[in-house]
Amino acid sequence: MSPGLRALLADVWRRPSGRAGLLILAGLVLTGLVGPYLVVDPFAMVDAVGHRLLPPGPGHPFGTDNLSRDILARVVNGARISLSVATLAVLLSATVGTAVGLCAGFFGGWPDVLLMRSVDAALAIPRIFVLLLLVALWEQIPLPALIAVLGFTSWFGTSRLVRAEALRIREEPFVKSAEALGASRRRIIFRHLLPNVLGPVLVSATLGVGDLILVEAGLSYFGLGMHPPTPSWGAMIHEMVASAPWTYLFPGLAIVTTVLSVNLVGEALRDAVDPRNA
Amino acid sequence: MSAFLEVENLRVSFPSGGKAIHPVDGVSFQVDRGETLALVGESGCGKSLTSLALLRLLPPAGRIEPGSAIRLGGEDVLALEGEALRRIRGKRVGMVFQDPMTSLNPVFTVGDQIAEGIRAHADVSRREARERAVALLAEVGIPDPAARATAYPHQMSGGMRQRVMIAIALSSGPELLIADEPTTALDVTVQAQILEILDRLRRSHGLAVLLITHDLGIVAGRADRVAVMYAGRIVEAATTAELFARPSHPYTRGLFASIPTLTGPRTRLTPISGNVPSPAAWPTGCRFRTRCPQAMERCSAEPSGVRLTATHRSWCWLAEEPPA
Repeated sequence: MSPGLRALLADVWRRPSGRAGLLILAGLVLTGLVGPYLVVDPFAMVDAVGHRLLPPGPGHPFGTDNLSRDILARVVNGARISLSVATLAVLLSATVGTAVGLCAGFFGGWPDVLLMRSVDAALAIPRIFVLLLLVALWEQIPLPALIAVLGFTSWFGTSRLVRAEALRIREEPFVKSAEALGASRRRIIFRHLLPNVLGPVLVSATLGVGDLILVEAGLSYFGLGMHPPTPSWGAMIHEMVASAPWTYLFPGLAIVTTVLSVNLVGEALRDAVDPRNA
Repeated sequence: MSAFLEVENLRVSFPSGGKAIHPVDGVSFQVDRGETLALVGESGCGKSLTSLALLRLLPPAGRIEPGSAIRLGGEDVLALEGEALRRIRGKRVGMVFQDPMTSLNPVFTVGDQIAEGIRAHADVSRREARERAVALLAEVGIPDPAARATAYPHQMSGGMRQRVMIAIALSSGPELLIADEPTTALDVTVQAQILEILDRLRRSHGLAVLLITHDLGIVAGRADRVAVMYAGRIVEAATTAELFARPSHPYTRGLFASIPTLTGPRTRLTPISGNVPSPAAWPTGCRFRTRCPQAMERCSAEPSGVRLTATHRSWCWLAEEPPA
């Protein structure tokens, strides 16, 4: 698998949009990983009347908010939160979606009917209602619960994709040949189907990260996801709307940049995985 | 003394439009250790389904009809289920498929895939499986096997991949090797090499080989016996020498007439007119009579099969009573 993955990344890197996306994304990930150690405490309220709502300038490159907190520090900390929430939720949804899709595609028959009709039903319910309902179960949703809610409501598309791929790969001669050699079902699923569906799953997962960052920001903006004073980008915009423009401009720009870079990488991956573009 | 593989009256049915069709309809043959039987026929005559049926690998809708018998080293294959069935696949019977381009998993190295075959049936360490894989690659004539074991399928040519497929088929030390059109997707020069390897392995391992092909040309010199299949049945069976010297069935003669030769007078190739009929509408009586240039009234009755010699049998009325 790993040489295939390396070749895939090399292919993405060769594409200008993929390279741009990877560079920006790498910068954001690095920001999320080490940034919080380099900036001031995002919760610190300087509390001097003179430090509230300072415009961007020396000392506070992104300015301060109405509680005199440093916005740069909050945006940087937000990178860690937004990226990790979205990434963990996507890992969860990709895992569930792949497992469901493989089961449906490999076993066929009634498991396939049961799983896929459930997916159809789930897709018929507007996601925002489901999210609002689930999130409302908590007064202030804990972080792991938010990740679980986001993850468990976003695997439907992946499961369809994986099922279709599994159906196709099952009929490939190398699977027939493995059967003729006495490979067990488990071996066929894990050695032959799974590794060969990972490419499309990776594409959909990458695009899913961008999607979930938006959903998390949206929920937080409505006060339903991450809560103040947590420096999530969505929560910051929620907190600061109708305040000075820089207080919501920078978290907004951070969201746009992240989603853009993730989508650039995702689309480059999609082209790289598609054999017609080889 | 019975042969290693015995197939008797094998019938395969598929549901089609409310009734059952029989693409394989009463096929019997035997293959012994150390010999090669070639099963020859046009596309659609049922030879591939026959080979899949031997390992019970038919598509889900396909059924082997009661009355059929498949015995492998005396074991009743049709009575096996689950784990016992899985154990004969690969372990007692190795299979090589037609298209080496798609018969290997693209995401693993060829060494990994051979080692996987070994570990499917033998309790050996990864390391040992790996070493055996390299030895197998050497045995099928791949130069620098240790280095090639780390290659991915897409980095190899068709001929090399087919050698890898043979190595995989051999990985668990089977007694019977089924090769379904093993050279059809390859260049002529590579075809000869692959057949040579199969022949060498047959001799060195005492393998029984079932060679399935549409090409009578590759049969000469490679097979001990030939069974010619048409429309789900065997129409002529003989030793290779007998079949090439005195083909009896008009279908067999038709196949010979459609092979180009380098010697002899330059004549136009004569194709057999028409196509194999659909299994939904097998003709009654002799199934070849709708395309046979020598068809006569008698052919509407089922030919009973005439023994021309102890080893040569033909299912044609002409063989029984040559035209006056």
